[in-house]
Amino acid sequence: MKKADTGSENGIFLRQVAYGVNGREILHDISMEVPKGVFAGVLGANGAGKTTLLKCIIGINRCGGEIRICGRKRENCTEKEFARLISMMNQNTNLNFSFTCRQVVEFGRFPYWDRGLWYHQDDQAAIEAAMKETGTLELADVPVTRISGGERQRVLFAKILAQDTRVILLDEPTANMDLYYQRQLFAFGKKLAAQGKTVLAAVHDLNLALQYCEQFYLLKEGKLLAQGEAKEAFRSEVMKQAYHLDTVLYRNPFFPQPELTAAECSQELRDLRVHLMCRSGNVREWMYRLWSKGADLSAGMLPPDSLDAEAARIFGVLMLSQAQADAQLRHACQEGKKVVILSEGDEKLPGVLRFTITEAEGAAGFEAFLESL
Amino acid sequence: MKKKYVFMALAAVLAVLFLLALVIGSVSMPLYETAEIILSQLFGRASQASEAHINIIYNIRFPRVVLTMLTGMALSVSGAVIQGVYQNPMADTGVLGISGGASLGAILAVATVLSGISFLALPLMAVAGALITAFGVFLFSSRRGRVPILTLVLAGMAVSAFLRAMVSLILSYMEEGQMREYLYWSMGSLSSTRWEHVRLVWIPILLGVFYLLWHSRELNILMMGEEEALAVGLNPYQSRKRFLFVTSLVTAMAVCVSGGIQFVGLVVPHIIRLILGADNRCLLPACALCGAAFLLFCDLLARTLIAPAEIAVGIISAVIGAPYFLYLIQRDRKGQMR
Repeated sequence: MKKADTGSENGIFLRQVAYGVNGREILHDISMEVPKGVFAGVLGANGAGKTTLLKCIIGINRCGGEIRICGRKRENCTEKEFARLISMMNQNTNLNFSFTCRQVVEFGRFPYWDRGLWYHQDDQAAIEAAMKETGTLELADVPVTRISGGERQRVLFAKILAQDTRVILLDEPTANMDLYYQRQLFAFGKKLAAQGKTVLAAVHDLNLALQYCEQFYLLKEGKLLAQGEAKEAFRSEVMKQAYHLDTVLYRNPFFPQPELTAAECSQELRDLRVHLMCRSGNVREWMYRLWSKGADLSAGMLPPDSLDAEAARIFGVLMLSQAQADAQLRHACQEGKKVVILSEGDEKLPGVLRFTITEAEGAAGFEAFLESL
Repeated sequence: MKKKYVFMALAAVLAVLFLLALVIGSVSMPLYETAEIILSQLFGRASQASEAHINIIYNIRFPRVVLTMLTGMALSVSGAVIQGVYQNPMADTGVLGISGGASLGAILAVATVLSGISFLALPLMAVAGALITAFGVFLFSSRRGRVPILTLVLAGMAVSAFLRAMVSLILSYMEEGQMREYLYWSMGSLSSTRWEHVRLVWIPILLGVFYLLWHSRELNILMMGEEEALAVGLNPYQSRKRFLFVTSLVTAMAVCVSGGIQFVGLVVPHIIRLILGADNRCLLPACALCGAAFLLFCDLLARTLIAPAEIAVGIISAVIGAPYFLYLIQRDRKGQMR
C-alpha cells in the first residue's frame, strides 16, 4: 500500500522544476499545481519554454525538481502505467510513413496492450469512439500522408482521446486548424475537464484560451511570471513583460468571458501627450487608437456610468479636472513633449495644439497632424 | 481482405519458385525425380537415382535453395526493420557498418588461410567481424543510454569506409587465388553453399526473424519518433537497441554465408510497403515471403543465364534491383505517394 503522496488532489504538480541543455538553462525553478478537472493554458512568447515545460511534465525531457502526475512520480511507474496516466499531443509528429489514420489512432492504445499483435475489442471500441468524436471516422482507411494538416491534427487528437488518460497535455493543438475545429478541440478540452481530467494546453491564441480555459500559467524566458485566473495572469504588467506589448483585458458586454486586446508594436506616438475633452460618440475610438499607438492619455471628467468612462478605465486613462489637466499639460510642455487637446471648445494654452475632432475639419486636421509625426 | 490475397499470392509465388529452383539447373531433372531424391534422403530410404544425381540435388542444390530462401528472408526483413528504426524508407543494413565488418572478417579468413582449413572459417569470421563492428558503432554512438540516429548513421558510415580501406589494403597483398576467393564471396554468391552453412545459420535467422515479427507493433510506434514513443509508454532507446541487436545478428548470419547481396533489403520492403502500407505487422511477414521469393528468382537467373557457368547472385540482384528502385523513385515523385 503506497502512502498517500502529497498533492494527489492535483492532476499536475511541479516543484522547483529546472531544465537545461548544453549548459544552458531553459526552465528555472518552476513550481505550479494544476488541479483535477481543470482546463488550463500555458502562455508565453515563442521560446518562453511552453513546449519544453510540457515535455518535462510528460518525461520526454529529463529535468530536475519534483513532478507528480495524479500524485505519482514517473520513477515509481512503469512506462505503460505512466502512459495510462498522462498523454501528450506534440506539435510536430513524424507521420512520414503511410499508416492509415485508424492505425495512428490505434497507437494511442499501446499502453493497454500486454500481449499479441492485434487490438482487442475494448481497444477497438475506444478507437471508434475517439474517431467518431473528432469527425475522422471517414478517414479511417486513408493513409495519413494523404490528408491535410488540419485533418492530421484531428487524427492525432483522436489518438489522445483513445489513450484515455487522466492528464492530457496539448502543445499548440490548433495550429493549422480551421476555426470550426479549433473551437471543437477547445470545447473538447473543456468537456474532458468537466469529466474530471486535467487538460493543460500550450496556447498561442490568447482569446481562444480566455474563452475556454479556467487557469493560466504565463511563462517568460523559462520562468513562471504569473499563474491563476484570467484577472491575475493577464494583468497588463505581466503581459507587457511576457509579450512586450501593452494589453488590456476587458469584459465584453455580450460574452461571459473576458477578452484581450493588444496595442500596436510600433509605439509611434509614445512622445505624444493627449488630453481628451469631448463628449461625442467617437471619443472611445480615439482613445483606442491613441492608446494602441502608445500615446500618453488623459481625459476630462466623463459621466460616471457612460461607456466612455468604462473605456477610460480599461485603457488606463486618468480622468482629470480642468485644473489638474492644465497643470499636467503645462508640465508636459516643459518636458518637451508634444501636447494636444482634443475638445470642442476654443480655450488656448501656450505650446499646446488643439483640435476639434467632432467637426470634420478638425478631425482631418488632427489626422494630418498624426501623419506628420 | 486485400491483405489476405496478397499473402496468398506471395506464398503461391514462393512455392512455385521453390519447385523451379529445385528442378532447374545445370542438371535439370523432372520434378518427380527431384522430389523422390529429396524425400528419400530425408527419410533415409534408398533411391533409384544415381549417386551423382543424389549428390547434386540433395547435397548441393537443396541446401542452396534453402539457404537462398533464408538469406532472402533475413535481408528483406532486416532491411524493413532498419527502415523503421531509422524512420527512413531509404535506410538499409549498411548503415550500421555490418557489411564492412563482415568483409573484413571474410578477407582475414581468406588471408590467414583459415578458410582453407574449414568451410566454416570464412562465415564465422565474417559474422564475428559484422557483430563486432555493429556493436562497436552502437556503443560509440550511445550517450547516457540514448542513441541519436544521426550519430549512429554517421558513425556507421565512417566505420564502413575505414573497414573497406582495410579490406583493400589486405586485398593488395594477397595472391591471385586468395583474391579471387574473397572477391567471389564479396560479389554475393550462393554457389558454394552446403548443408554446413545451412546448419550454421538457420536457427539464428529463423529465431531472429521471428523475434522481429513478434515485436512489429513496437516497431510501428518507433516509426513515429522518440517523443511519440515516450508519450505512449514505449522506451524508444531500449526498443531501438533490441531491434538493432537482432537485426545485426540476422544480417550478419545472412551476409556471412552469402557475401554482399545488395538491394534485397531496400527494394523488397519498398515494394511491399506500396502494396500493403507501412504497418509492420503485415509488412514484415510479407517481406519474409517476398524476399525469399525474390532471391530465389535471382539465384535461378544466376544459375541459368550463362549455364553451365554462373553469375554471382549479388550481380543479378543489383542489376534487377537498382533500375527497379530508380523506377520506384520516379513513380514516387510523380504520384506523390510514399
